[in-house]
Amino acid sequence: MILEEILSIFLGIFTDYTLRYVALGSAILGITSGALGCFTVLRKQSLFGDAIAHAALPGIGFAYLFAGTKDSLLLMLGAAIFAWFGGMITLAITNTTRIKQDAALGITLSVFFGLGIVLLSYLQSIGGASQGGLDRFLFGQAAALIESDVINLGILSALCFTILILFYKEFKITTFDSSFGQSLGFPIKYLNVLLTSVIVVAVVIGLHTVGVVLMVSMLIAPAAAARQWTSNLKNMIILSAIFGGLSGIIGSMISSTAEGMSTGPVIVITITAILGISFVFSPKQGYLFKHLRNQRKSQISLDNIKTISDKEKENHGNI
Amino acid sequence: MEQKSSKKNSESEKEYSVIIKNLSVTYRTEPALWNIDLNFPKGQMIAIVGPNGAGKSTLIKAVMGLVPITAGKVSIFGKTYSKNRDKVAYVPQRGSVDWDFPTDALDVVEMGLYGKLGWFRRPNSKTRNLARECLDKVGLSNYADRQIGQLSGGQQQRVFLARALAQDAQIYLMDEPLNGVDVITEKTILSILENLKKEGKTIVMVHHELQTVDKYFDWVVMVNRNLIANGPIKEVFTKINLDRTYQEKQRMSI
Amino acid sequence: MEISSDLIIIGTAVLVAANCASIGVFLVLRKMAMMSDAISHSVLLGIVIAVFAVGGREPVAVIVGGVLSGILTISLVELLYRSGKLKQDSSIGIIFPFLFAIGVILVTQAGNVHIDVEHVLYGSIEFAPFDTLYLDELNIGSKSMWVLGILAIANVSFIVILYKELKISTFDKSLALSAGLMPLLVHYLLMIMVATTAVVAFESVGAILVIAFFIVPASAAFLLTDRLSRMLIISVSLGIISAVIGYLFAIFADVSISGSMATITGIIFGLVWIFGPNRGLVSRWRRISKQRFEVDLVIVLTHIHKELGSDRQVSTSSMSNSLGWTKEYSKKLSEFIQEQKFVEKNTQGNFTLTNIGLKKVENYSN
Ligand SMILES: Nc1ncnc2c1ncn2[C@@H]1O[C@H](COP(=O)(O)OP(=O)(O)OP(=O)(O)O)[C@@H](O)[C@H]1O
Ligand SMILES: [Mg+2]
Repeated sequence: MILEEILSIFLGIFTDYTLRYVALGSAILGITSGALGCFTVLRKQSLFGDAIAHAALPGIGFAYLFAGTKDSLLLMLGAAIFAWFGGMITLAITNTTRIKQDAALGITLSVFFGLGIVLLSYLQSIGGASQGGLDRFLFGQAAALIESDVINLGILSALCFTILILFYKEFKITTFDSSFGQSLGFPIKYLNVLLTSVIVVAVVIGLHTVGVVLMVSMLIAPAAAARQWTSNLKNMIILSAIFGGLSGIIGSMISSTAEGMSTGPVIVITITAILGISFVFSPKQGYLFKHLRNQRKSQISLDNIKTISDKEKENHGNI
Repeated sequence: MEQKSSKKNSESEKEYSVIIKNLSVTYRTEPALWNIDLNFPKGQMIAIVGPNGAGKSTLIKAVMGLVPITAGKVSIFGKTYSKNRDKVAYVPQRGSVDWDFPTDALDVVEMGLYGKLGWFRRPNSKTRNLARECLDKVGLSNYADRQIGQLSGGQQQRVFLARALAQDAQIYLMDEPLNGVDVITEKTILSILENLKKEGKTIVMVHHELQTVDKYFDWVVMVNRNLIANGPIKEVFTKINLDRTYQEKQRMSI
Repeated sequence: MEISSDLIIIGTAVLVAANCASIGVFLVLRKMAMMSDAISHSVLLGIVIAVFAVGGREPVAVIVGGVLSGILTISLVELLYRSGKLKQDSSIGIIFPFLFAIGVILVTQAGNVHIDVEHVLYGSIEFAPFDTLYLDELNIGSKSMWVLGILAIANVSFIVILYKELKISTFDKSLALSAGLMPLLVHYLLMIMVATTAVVAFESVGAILVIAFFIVPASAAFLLTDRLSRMLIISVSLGIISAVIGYLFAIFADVSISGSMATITGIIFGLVWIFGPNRGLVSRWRRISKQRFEVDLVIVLTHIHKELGSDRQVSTSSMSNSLGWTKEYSKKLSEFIQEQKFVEKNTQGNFTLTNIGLKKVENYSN
């Protein structure tokens, strides 16, 4: 019975047009943010994604204001520019003052977001944008994705992956050992800017599906989960992309079964569940196996102690 | 006169692999290195000694242009570093990397070949085999696929040495590679470096163990913001120079 | 007694600002600023559950629920990163979206709960005047003012009573530990105050403005002073100023009040960052370039001194060659040292040090 139901939901992806686009869009987000999130986590910039996601809001406002359209590509461009700008402001604050990264992120996040709300409320007061615009941005609206959106997301995602594949070696060495990379002649500064830009694009894709607040989770959770299973960067990126994509598909399917259940939160709960499962079950680092191993180890050492003390007894006996 | 000096220059280029002239490095406003004239002779084991914060790491980084140089010039075999980059191998000071990073020993060694690969070219079976050979040289072939955080401190140092070997350079700049290493590992590392020396390569090493300086090295550079002494161990590794190097940090404020 | 609604809104905002900006100082100094981000989002879950449990928006239940979920967030974050599997910021970035997502789903699934998720984010301070509190049917004024006022008293008492403990555990944890000041207890008390402040403030201004008031004024204050007591005063003052200006601007331009206040905190921060005395970008840049020039000057004089000592000549062109500077910069410097009479030029164009120049070199070399 239940199996049948699950099967029918799953088949929905192929038969139901809306669900197909929702699932596809969410999967694209999950794959992209999963892959690039590995770098944000490894560079200890986990919350960077949170700050730049919030910083994108004024970009949307300005895009509405000046272009006066709802052209999704234009909105994305505005969002990307401001997200990028927010990221640079954060770096500038930490580089030129004694303020630490956490506070710098908080400043960017809250101030840019406040500015965005000001712009959107202004647009509303002059009758420009509907409340819907903001909603869509805050929590994403995977459910409203249409074919052209999905195509746009796909193109952006492909762009991210092309850059990631082309510069994989360089991104890896600058992340792992930047001064060594620099000694080999790689321009660390430009590579960092490039990587940040690619992450910005991934965040902008995410704004469409899970929204500002939850975006950070899509960058961190898949990477953290993947790291539990592998100690190889390439495998980690691939696995993280799979986890992200999977949570996108599963999340959009689950949310399609319940009336009014928004897709973004369900995707986030799904990926967090995957992370939890990885914590418990991963063979190398998981709690379960650690527990089993410890038991076995203590058994072994117990045996050792026994044999040693037996030997000692023998020795003592000899004396 | 012009000719004479250029002839002299080329003579010194024959003898020295690195020539440092009038080098000053200041971080923000505090000078870390002040007016240093220094040459590294070819085919020698060279120790850089000095107290903490003396500018030893800065000196090594300045040679490779990893820190902005306030004044002065560095030449590597007569050319700038960016032109002769492939002749220099570098072992950074321990603790400059994230030991939780998802990478294994072999992978780290292979990174030594990224510079030669250049842009866009990916590591391949050839680089993999080269890396394996280098890992073998430091006696770690059994640890090739061990995550780097799960190696002991001495093994980690050897992995970074192997990465430098993979660079197949003429000059090896190493920042405290013997730090936290036991006696046996120290011997292994030194015998590898001895072999490199026999091939005519220059080895420059920041070293903290003063007792072993005269045993391991041919040449010593003593630095404490200023250059205190520079020359063959027998001539300059004296008590007076050591006292001058390790005396209260040389005061200087601008 | 009727208080105009403008005054109630400003009063509410000023109280939020004062509450957040004072506690925020400790968050910024302890490098836990993003904890306020996490807490201010995840209180949604607690509030929703409290509303479910009590069947309405009882202020006490809401506050208790919010504080409990705040504590839950902190504990989960610490549990995760203490386990060694994740860094602290990653733990934050995983826990709060998770709790927030559950909160959002609960809200949307239960149609009868009147919580507007957008308002959770950017608040509805506009409605503060309409929410009045009655004591035996006597209108005793705005509810939010009352709640925030009580919170302000609690926060001030917290900071005053535990001032020494907070200060020591912020600047030197191990000292606090050895002095028996229980830094862990202080830490948790502080987090409880953050959670309480976040819940109460967030009712009126929303999660994002709460973060702005927690972090931005305190960061600006951090750039203006080294003393903790002054930092507290400056932070609260900047928070209050932002609240008032932000409100006035919002009325003038007919835009969101909370958004406008957050923007003003940012503008004030920006001004301090750029123009602030000593640490501001402008004065920093001036100071650094002046010091750089001074360093270069001494380098040149030392160089000339050294070369003369070994019977070599220095001219403008040899200077640029041996120090690796551009021709223009060497020229500028060599003109400067001649003007200042540190050196003299002989007929061949080579420099000799004057007595003043010699003194300068000797000053610096020992
Ligand atoms: N990135 C930097 N920014 C500012 N100051 C720096 C920086 N790096 C080094 N310094 C300062 O420059 C001086 C020299 O540092 P350096 O690292 O070269 O010393 P070291 O001799 O390698 O010391 P150690 O033995 O501890 O490794 C120190 O006073 C240090 O504080
Ligand atoms: Mg050093």
